[in-house]
Amino acid sequence: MENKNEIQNELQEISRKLKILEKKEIFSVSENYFTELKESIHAKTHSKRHSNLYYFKSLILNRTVRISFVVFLITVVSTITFIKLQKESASQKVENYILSNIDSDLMSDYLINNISTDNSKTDTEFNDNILENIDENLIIEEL
Amino acid sequence: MFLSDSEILRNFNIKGQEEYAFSHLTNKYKEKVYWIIRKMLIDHEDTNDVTQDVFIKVWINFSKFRAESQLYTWIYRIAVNECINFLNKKKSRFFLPLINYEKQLLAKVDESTDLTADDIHVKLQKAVLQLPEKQQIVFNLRYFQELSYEDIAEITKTSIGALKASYHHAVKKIEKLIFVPD
Repeated sequence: MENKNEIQNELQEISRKLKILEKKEIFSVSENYFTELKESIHAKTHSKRHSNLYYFKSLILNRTVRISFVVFLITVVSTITFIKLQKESASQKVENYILSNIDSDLMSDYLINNISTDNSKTDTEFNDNILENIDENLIIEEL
Repeated sequence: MFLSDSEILRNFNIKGQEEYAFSHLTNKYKEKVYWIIRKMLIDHEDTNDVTQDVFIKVWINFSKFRAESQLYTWIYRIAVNECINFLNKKKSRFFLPLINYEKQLLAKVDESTDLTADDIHVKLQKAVLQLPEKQQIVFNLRYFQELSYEDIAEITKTSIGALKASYHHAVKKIEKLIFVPD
């Protein structure tokens, strides 16, 4: 009511002609329209409520679900990163152990023997290469 | 008998009571929302579609309503925004220079008007349609819906000072359009 009086007083100040004009609705709707409108709205919201998309949307909108999802995501990412780092450090440890504990001559013998069994052609090339580059005195000494 | 807005909100937050609360909300606001939209879109079928969309949006987003504003201003805000979106879509479809959607709306007033309507009221409706969008919204909410400036400010997210100026300009333009002879 207070609003109505305030609006009328304001209108009186701006336009007296518009103020005295009686308010009248120029459009009309059928008699049962608003009952039907309510039914249509409820039918639509009901079908939305029971659709999978609605459940998915309401899940996304739920704050607890959103927080849980973020926590889950962080846990998964940090676990994967941790496992990856662990693997890297383990292979680093093995590499360091090999370099510090295994005799380099032993290692080169192993490599020569293993590579030479792979392919006969490359095997010959590889041996020729070794013979060309290794000091003769060293071979004689070894023999 | 309508439930109060706070009772509707309370019921909506009780599991299993959502549909009951929404039924009361629809009953309470369906006519007001329809008339806000009808004043802007004129055509009944368009208004019917947009009104249904508004209530579906209300239903979907109800969990996001934080009660920082009044329930009805929140609903009216959705209604006004849906109208603006609808009109923008229509206008972008009619971007050819020969077809003007504003003119189409004016023509629709004559088509949709009740046979008992007076000429002066038809002129008033046509004058409102010739206002810029913002003034049109402010005039409809203030003159036809009799809302306070505080409520309109909440709906349109505009300062009260700017709203008062818009309403003043709108009334003056309408007076000129309907009372001053050509």
